[in-house]
Amino acid sequence: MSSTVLQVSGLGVTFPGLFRSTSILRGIDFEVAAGEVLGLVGESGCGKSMTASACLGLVPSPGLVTGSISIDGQQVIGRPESELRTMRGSRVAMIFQNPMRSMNPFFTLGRQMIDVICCHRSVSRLEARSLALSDLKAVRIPDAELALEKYPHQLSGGQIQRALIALALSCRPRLLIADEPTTALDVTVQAQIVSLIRRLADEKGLAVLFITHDLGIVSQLCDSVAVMYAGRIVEKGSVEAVIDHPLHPYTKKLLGTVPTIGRKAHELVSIPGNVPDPALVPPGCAFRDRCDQATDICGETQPPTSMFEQDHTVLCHHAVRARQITESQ
Amino acid sequence: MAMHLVQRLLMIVGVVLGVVTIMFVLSRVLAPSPAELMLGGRPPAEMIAKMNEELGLNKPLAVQYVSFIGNVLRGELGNSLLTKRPVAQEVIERFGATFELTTLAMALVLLIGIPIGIVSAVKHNSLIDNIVRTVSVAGVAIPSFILAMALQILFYGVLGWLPLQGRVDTSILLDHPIKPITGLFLVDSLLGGNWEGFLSALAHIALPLFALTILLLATVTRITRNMMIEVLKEEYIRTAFAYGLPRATIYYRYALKATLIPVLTVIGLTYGYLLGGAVVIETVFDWPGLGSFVVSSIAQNDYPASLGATLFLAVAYLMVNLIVDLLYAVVDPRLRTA
Repeated sequence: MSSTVLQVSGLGVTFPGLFRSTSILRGIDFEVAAGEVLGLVGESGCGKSMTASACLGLVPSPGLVTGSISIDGQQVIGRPESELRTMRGSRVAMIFQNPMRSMNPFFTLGRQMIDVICCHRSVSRLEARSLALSDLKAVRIPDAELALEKYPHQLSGGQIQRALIALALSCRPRLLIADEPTTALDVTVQAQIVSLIRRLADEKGLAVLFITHDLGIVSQLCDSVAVMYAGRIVEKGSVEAVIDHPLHPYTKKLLGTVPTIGRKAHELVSIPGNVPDPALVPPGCAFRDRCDQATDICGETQPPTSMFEQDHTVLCHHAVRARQITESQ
Repeated sequence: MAMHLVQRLLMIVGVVLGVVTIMFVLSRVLAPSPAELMLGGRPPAEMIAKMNEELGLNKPLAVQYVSFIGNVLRGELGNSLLTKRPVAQEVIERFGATFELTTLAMALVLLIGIPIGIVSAVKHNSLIDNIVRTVSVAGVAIPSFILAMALQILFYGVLGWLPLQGRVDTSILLDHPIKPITGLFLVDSLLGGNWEGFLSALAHIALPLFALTILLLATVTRITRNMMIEVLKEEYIRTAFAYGLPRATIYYRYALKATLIPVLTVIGLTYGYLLGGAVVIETVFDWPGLGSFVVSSIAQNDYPASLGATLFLAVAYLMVNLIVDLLYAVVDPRLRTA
């Protein structure tokens, strides 16, 4: 129905080591269309942020990136730095987890916005200023004119995150990557930021890759979702399919951990164990040590991708059985 | 901001008062009988009593303390026991020489050290970074007197390009005396149109300046490099990259400001310290600065001279720190509103 903006296929990131190299990402496939918000979910250390860095061509050296990432039809991997720099900001922009620390404390908001606008568009600084002003108004910053002259420490976290979104969108990128943009904010401010992102996707046809570990936000905001575990996407599909009918044991457990009002603290659920160290991911399914449905085959071979309707894909040996159980219920 | 300034100034007044008090106590403890020292030799008791009477040393200590503070405030620091000249005048003359040397050295260090540090940080672990690191370790490690003497041997002894020591040629003092205006020979000779004087002063300052610059350069380069490397790890730098800002903008504008704050601290402290005279360099090059003055006055028990110099240095040090404090606010907007 709508055009694909971000297409990632077979993405892998490997860090060569002295004795053995460490794979942080393996075989990542997903795409985001214009106006679509894709939620990328998973525990800390499963590779969400590395995926985002790879999309911007900002994998720290000596990381080795393989596969293909295309933004708006332009390949990111292997592109020279000077061309990547032009892409950043103008085709793809990113907002970050900690807004207070993502803005340079030594320059005014206006100055930082004007710098970015001037580097991607051929406008004078005066024109850039008025563009910045209208961008700030678009994200509904109160007293935008005054905010331009303020330093980051004079603004609240929510205002800065709005300003960063304005900054990210100032050069009209097609894709916005949001790396846990609400984690550091108050719940009420979180809701405002989430609805702002939704509005931008709906009104401007912005494609959004929304990284989070909060499944509550995913169900409110996203159209589709991809669940990551130990450097792989283990389940992905539409929000309805994945959140309402999860098939991967990890997704089920992740959904089980979402706290709900009325549940007491001692009833909070966690998933026992940790994400395996990327250097020591065992053969077979990486989740099997924490999975209560694991059988012998899980320790032997990497699970194949099972496809169900509406592009719902699952990386689990037992997905088909899980599907049958769901259907029979 | 104004509040901050007032606070700082009050603090400086407090510190100066403390220094004056300590000086007073020391001058009575170190030299229980200033009259005896001033008269020299073994003067008869009645002469000492007469001198004490003249100097007011027979009054109670509290009265003496008050009049001592009064004298200090009026800039009367007594006469040097050695030269019999007013200490204040002597200190100011000497300070001119030290100020000229250290300020030029500081300026050179800033102009050379900061850019080298930045390049070294940006090209972290490259060949150029390793060369800078090695050279700056060597720069910190070389004892200053060795460096100073090596320079003398090379440029005076072997090549004969530059004079051995002193601030200006004796012949200049006779034929083209430099009219004192600011106390800085390079400036005064230019202002007076004294070309010969200027060239001689320049030739004389070259070696001590070179030695001092080398010694300071290492520290400033290392600090700039290390701070810059830290700043480049900040999240707002990553953000700047993510928005596609040019590298030059990120390094030389976005990262530089944050780097400069700690560099400023070190430079301020070093500069304040050096105003007290780079003792070793001044001694080796026979540079008539404050450092060699303090050393010789202590060595020869010239207590009014050493105390006067101490007071002067304390004030100079505090002033440099005040300026650094004010510069922080210029660089860092977070300190401006506070």
